[in-house]
This record gives sequence, structure tokens and C-alpha cells, in this order.
Amino acid sequence: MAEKSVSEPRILAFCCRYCAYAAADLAGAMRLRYAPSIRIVEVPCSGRVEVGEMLHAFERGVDGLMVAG
Amino acid sequence: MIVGEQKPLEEIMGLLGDARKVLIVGCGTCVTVCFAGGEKEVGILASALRMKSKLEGHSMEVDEVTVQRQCEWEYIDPLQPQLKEYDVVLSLACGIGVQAMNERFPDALTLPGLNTTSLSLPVEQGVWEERCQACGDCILGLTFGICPIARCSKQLLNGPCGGSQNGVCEVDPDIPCAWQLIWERAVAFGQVERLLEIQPPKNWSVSRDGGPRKIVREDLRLTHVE
Amino acid sequence: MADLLDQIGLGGERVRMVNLSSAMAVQFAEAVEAMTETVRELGPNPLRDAQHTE
Repeated sequence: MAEKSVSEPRILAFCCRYCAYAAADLAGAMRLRYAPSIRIVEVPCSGRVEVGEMLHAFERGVDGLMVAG
Repeated sequence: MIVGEQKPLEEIMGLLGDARKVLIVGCGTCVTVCFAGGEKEVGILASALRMKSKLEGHSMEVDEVTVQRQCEWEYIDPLQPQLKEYDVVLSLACGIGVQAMNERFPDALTLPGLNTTSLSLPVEQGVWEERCQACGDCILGLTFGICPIARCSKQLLNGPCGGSQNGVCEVDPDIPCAWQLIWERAVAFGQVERLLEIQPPKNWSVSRDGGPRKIVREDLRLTHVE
Repeated sequence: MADLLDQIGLGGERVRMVNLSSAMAVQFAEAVEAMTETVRELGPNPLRDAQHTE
């Protein structure tokens, strides 16, 4: 992740392809505004996300993490 | 299966002390299927320890490895060459695995990351209930397949006792009375008269009362003493 | 997971599970805003500072 200003949080979101990722797509299509802090990773299902992977994200320095499905 | 539970992170940190380089060794058998010490849990604990130690200001290097069975020499022997790189080894196997590591590799100190709790049955996902105490003299044939040694709070051989209330144990209403269950099985099989026979005291010398137990099978040994 | 983050010392509030359907774009945007706000209050991941000072 590119280093930006220190104050801007970096949040990783694991999004289910069929629910939250599609919702994010729709949000884009609807031109909704939301914080630029989010980095979306598409997963086939939110059940795919492992605790170990979430911990790795924190190890690498993310400030927050969302699992959305 | 042998069931274990991971020790609290705080306790593990305490055990590791000021070690700088740690190898976590998981086990691919019992503790994998009870989600306590398999490859996944090793990864999670390693990650947690790396982060916690860094936050507490004494960064630890933590590596991960999982062997198929930590209680057999064949499976742990390949670990030997890498062990000298580490200040300490943390085992996520049961107590047998931890001791196997210490016996096989006396120069490396292997510490336990789990509490080995019981021989239990996974009655549903996420729930393990004790079913066996490895007493060395199985009486399930007398008790319709329900073990009063493991499941009766008093380990009674001639139950139930007066503490059996509405099918549950007086010790805790979440514990079903083993002897109530045995009685119901006897009724179901139409053999309640078998329970009228008084069982004499059990032979505890084949349990822990006889000291550490050992089985020697001469027919299986590779070297015979003639 | 949150409990583990607490034990590590990162703060369990840093992780959140959200349930959305594919039609819930507005709720998605709201969830992102709410999470951003929570994280902003918590401050940056302390491991990032630790990494930088090394």
C-alpha cells in the first residue's frame, strides 16, 4: 500500500463477490461518496477469509479491517 | 480424540520470556481436528506473537512448521537440522508431543503452547465432551456403553447416587447423570437385572494408581532379547 | 478475532463484520464511513510506527 498522509486510515475490506462487492459496485454506479480509506479485496465468499489472513493484514500495518458479505 | 486448548496469549508470552527467535511446531493429528494446534492455529499464534512482541518492544522472530504427528520419531526427526537456529521451541501438540520433542532433541527446549485437556468426543461442532479417562480396565461392557468413570462425577461403579436429580448431576445441572443414562439404556435393552449385580472395587492398579503405564508388545518390537 | 486483537494489544474494534446484500450500496457506503470514523478515533495501527522506528 502506498504511504499517504499519516492521518488517513487504511482499511482493508474483504468483500463477498455476490453481496458486498456487488454492493460496492452499485455504490460506484450510483456515484455515492464514501471515505477513500477503503481497499477492497474480492473473495468468492466471506467464509473464505481466514483468521490468519486477517492477522497478516494487521501485521502489514492496516489500521482496520472489514469482512463484508 | 486427544483434545487440547491453547493457553492464553499472555501465558505463552510469559513462557517465552526474552527469546528472540522462536519456532512454533504444530501437530497434524488430534490437535488439528480439535482446532487447537494444527497448521492454521500455528499461523495465527505466530502472527499474534510477532505483533504482540513488537508492540511490547522486544520484537520476536517467529517461524512456523507443522508435522503430521509430533508423537512419533519418524515425523519429528526431519526438524533436527533447523532447531539450533532457535532460542526456544513452542509446541502446539498435546503433552505427548511436547515431551517427544524434548526427549528427541535434548539440546532444544520445547515449551507447551496448549493445555491438553481430555479424551473427548466432538458431540457437535465446537463442543467436546469427555468420554474416556484411559483407566486401563474398560467397563463399558457392564454399563451399556456409557462410561461412569469418565462421566459420573464420583466415578461410581454402582450408581446412581442420591445427587442424581431429574437426570442431572448435583455437581452441575449441565452434567447429565451418567448412571441415569446407563439405567435408561438398560431399560431400553430390557436388561435392568444386570444392574442389580453389585460391582466390586475396580482394579485401579492398571490406571494411574500403578504409576506411569507402559505397554510392551514383543511381537511388534524390532529387536528381541532372546 | 476481536478478542484476539485485544489480547495482542491492537484493539478489537479494528475489525468488523458487515452483512450486506448486493442491493445495499447505501449501507455499504455508510459502513465504510462508520469504520473509517472508528479507526480514525483509534489512531493508526501501532505496528506501523514500530516498523518505521526499526
